[in-house]
Amino acid sequence: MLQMVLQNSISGMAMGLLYGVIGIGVCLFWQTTGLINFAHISSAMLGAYFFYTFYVMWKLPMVISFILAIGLVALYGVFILRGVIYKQIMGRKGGRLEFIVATMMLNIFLLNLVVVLWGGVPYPFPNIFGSPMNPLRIGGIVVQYHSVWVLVFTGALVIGLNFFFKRTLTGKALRATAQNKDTASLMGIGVEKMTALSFALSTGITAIAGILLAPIYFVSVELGGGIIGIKGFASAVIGGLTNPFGALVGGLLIGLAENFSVFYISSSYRDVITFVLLVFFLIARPQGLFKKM
Amino acid sequence: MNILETKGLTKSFGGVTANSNLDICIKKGSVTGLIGPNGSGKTTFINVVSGVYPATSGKVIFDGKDITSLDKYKIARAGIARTFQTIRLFERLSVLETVLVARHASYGASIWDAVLSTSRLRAANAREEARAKELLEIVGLGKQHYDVLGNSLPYGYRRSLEIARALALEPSLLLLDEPAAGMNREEFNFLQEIIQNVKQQGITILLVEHTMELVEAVVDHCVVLNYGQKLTEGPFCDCESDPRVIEAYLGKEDAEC
Amino acid sequence: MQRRKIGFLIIALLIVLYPLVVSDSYKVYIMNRSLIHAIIAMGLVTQVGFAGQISLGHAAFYGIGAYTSSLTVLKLGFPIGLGFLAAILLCVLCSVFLSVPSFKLSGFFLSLTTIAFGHIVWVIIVNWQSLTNGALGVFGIPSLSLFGTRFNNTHYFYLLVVTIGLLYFFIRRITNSFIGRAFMAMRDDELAAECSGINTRYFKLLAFGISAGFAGLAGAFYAHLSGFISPESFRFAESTKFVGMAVTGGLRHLLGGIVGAPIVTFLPEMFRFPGWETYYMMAATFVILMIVVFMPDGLAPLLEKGFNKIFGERSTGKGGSSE
Repeated sequence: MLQMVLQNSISGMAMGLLYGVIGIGVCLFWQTTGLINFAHISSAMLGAYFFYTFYVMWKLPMVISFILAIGLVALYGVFILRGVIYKQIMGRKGGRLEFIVATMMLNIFLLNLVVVLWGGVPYPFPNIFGSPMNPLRIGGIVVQYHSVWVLVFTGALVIGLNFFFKRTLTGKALRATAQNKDTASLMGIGVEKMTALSFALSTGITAIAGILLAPIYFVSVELGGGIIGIKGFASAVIGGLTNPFGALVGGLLIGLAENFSVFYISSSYRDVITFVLLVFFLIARPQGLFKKM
Repeated sequence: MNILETKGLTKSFGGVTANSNLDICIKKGSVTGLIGPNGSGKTTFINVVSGVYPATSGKVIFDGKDITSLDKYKIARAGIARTFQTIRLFERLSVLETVLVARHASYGASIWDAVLSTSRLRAANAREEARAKELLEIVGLGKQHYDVLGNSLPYGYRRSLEIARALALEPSLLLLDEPAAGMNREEFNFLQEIIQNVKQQGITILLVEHTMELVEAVVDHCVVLNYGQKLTEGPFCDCESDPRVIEAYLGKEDAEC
Repeated sequence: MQRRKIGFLIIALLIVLYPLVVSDSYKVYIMNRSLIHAIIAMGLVTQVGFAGQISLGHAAFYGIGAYTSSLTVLKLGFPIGLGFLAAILLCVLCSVFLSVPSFKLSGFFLSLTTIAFGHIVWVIIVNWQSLTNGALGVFGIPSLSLFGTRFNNTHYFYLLVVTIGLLYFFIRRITNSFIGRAFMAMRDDELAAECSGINTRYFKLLAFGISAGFAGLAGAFYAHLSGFISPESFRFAESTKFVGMAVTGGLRHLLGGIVGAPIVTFLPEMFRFPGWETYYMMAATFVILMIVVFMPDGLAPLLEKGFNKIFGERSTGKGGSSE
């Protein structure tokens, strides 16, 4: 019995962490702009496709492919998301609604763009995170290597981000800008640069999640199509938009709930669990689980 | 006769107590000034009375009725109107439309009147538009302004529009939150006129202000807040010269100067 | 003033002649689909553009309307007219579920709630197989008929045009009245509106109710026009499309829905050149993105300006936009 519970938990946790990483991207964006980017999940999709192109199609070394993919998505974040969409709408004092709708349309366009550039057929992801046929066995429990990698990457991300935000000057400057643009500017912080950096971080981190999700969802438009994005939002909301690391807890909650609900209820209701949790939190505790970082 | 009475009114936000045990009485027909240094809880008081914040404890009695946990719009319809510290207008509505929003309760028409454009609706339209124009005249906005977007007006006029909108509720109590902020001499004088005009119509006024010149000119009675508590009250000159009030605004004199 | 009347006459003539001139019945069918979408978009313009309440789950109401009308007609033997009524009423009732969260939530949080609502309704439709036949869909939905004649595409076209006309006047009366003012005040500054005596709860219920009712009506039309419905037509992607239509047409313009729906529906067709098979969807979505980003007021104000230039201004009062 315990074994079954543990088994279920492990697989659920890995997915949950990935939802959480997407949620971190959402939180970072929110903290900087006060807006929600409905094209957020396409950063994950683009990350997966770019990595696939560099590593599998152009046969570049794995680490280079990884860095290039994330860098390219970050550049998209700075120059297209921010440079075009954000600047246009905020420049004419557009509202949050406008930005939501514009990014929704951006997402649809990006989905179509991907189909044009890479075709509509999903690509299988190479087994760089271990083969699903050959998992780890601890005690009687099966642990996929992929889950271990997810844990490693997420851990590294958390440690890295924490160090960045609390110990480096740039990180602190970023937090300052997020809290109060005008004061930060008066303190000599380049607000424009910091905003650009936030966009880059938000999209780049989500790209990492995309690359890690690709083994499960394949390199496909499904990655950018929808339900995963909503789970990312849900993780962020449940965790509390003001605390990026809370999103990880939110994601874990969703991942675990999903796995257990599939086990005890029918699997066709799997995605509904996210929404039930989401609605519960929106009604009972919209500020999420955690307070400001 | 007191039009407004608060009993033990307290409002806390997490660990911060913005209003602490306030017992404030406002006489009907008076102009009362609510003064105190920044952060003393004046705007919080206005927010609690108008229903924007729920009180943590205590009571707000308006015209004999307990309005403490009433919805904002019900409080507005009961006769308490207010302006905001940072002017809050309707971005995409014209001057006339802005005032007409507050005339809503006086329309007495239903949605079917609107859809079928009945004579009742047309009569209501004419009647309310006329009243709105009267109110706009009180605050100095004329025909040339009617269709201008409220937000495109110069600052002083925006404040006037906010006051006209508040008056459109036909209130018996008007709460003004720092109306003189950012005004030039001309606008300031006109504001004074408006306040006198409103007082003459029998409307009670609670004025939160930092500009003492205005307070001195229009107020019958002053209440001073400090750190969320009532420090003192009385006629303006008494408050002005009260050493505790001076200390609250300026700080204690250093023993060694 | 006379010139304007001529302008309206020309437009009316074009509309009346459309199905008679276009030879391909399928094209008229697509136009009918876009008119049905226009009904949904009109409701969205009212709720989102005029009243400021966002909805990203409207396909749910479209679906509830479609299934309600089909199932009451097929399984309970309702006359189709009653089926339509049932569709509208059930949607309005369900909209209450959605407006209650809107009392406390707004913006992003409200949009997530509407997405959740949309998805949950879809899951219910797919899984309540005994009622809805699940993913297989509902077949054999009878078409409308009058005096023994079954409606064909041309009949539907005229009926839809008349319906849209009536709905337009309904919305216009409401938004130009004190109710519209209350909507817009609530949209622009909810707090100031409440402190000015506006019962925002009532108006949120009203806004959600109107737009849900519109979507329900559209769903009923769709069911009987097409004869077959399945959950595929009511997914989240459709909700996004409907919002896209409202925004492209002009979120704060009375004609926004009517202009936006045909444009979004026909735009991909316009890009269907030979050799562009892979590109046409991308091109169409790109154009819509550009419109949404660079033309925030949508296309309807432009069309109105164009019309005014050719046929003269209105003599008194404002145009169709909410300013």
